[in-house]
Amino acid sequence: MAVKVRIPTPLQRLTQGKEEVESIPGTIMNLVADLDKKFPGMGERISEAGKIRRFINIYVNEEDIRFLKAEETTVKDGDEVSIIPAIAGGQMKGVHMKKRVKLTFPQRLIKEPVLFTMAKKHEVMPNIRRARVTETAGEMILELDGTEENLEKGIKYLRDQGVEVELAEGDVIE
Amino acid sequence: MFSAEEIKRYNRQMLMEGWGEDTQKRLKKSTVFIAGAGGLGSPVSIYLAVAGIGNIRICDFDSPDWSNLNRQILHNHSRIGTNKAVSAKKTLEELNPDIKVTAFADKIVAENVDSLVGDADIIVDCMDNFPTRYLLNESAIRKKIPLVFGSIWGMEGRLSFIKTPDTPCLKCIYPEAPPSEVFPVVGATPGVIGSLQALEIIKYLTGIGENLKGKLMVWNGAKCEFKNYKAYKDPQCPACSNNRNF
Repeated sequence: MAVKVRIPTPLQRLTQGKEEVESIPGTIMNLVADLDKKFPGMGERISEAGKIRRFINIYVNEEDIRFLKAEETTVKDGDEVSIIPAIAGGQMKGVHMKKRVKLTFPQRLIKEPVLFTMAKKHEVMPNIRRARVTETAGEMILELDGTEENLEKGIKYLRDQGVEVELAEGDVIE
Repeated sequence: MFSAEEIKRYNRQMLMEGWGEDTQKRLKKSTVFIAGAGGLGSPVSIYLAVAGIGNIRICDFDSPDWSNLNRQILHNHSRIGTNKAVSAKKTLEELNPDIKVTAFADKIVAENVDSLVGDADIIVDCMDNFPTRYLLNESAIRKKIPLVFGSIWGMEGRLSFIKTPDTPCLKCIYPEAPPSEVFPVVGATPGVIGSLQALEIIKYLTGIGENLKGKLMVWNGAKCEFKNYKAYKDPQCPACSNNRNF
């Protein structure tokens, strides 16, 4: 026997689509650590600095752990743990968000101020996290900061110019 | 009070045990505030309109675009560019000309939430973000009226019937808002959750059936499973406890 953990749809990307996984008995934080080991990234999505994120509810069987012993709640073999995040979604117009993208520049664009033009034209602030530019190609990992609409326009502009844009997962609104 | 057409229109629901013409009259006199005319607001408002809820106040500042049309069945491509609340009023009045629909093209903020809700008997949350949901939650607490919470993602949904002080409030259930995102959704998902929200309202207004109090219902559409989890009042809740900050 083990502890059965139910994974909500938004986190199933980390479990290769599995809705139900197994974990170990112990405290909730032990369980989160175990899940993170099996499914890297899970810990960060559920918790922060040793605490379960406040928009994520964890239930042991039908009980909310915030009304048991919170992170110290222990689970035993045969228990069912459900991770139930608040789901909101929606396109919040005018709200600033950050998008992480990977750009690949073809040789002909390396010397062009494509990024600057995008930033100026669409009010998107690029923050370079990593870059590698050689004679023949350029690669960059960036965080783009702007409103959702502007981010969309900025990314479209880059693509229209011939830059390959890959979206990294997990958009953040701050 | 009812025309011959109305009697015919509502005939099938008046056959419900304990419903009859008196209950139908009660619905006609009722007012519901629908916050949002999008994915959830569509099925909610459509079912409330055809059930004969006499006064519908519907609010949305946005206008439909192509990416809304897979789920927002109040609107269609000819309405792109018109306000969603105005478009909703048009659709609902075509479905049932005997009810009164008031459209508000406002963004719901702390300053206007109470006046938008007005004299509604109940609020239904059809929003796409938590900050606005919390404003509706506070307004419901101040006005001592229920709030029907619903939210969706992909093929998943949540539902709860909130009426403080009898039940926990939304802030007791989810103390903080999740990050906003553009999320995947199939139109049938808000169809399921929105229909359940409409039914919670109809049950409350008719007094027939039991509302989903003190529970968070989670619907897993991918597996076709409904599961209820217990919800508790947070004694320190900033919205509904004695320590509240508004």
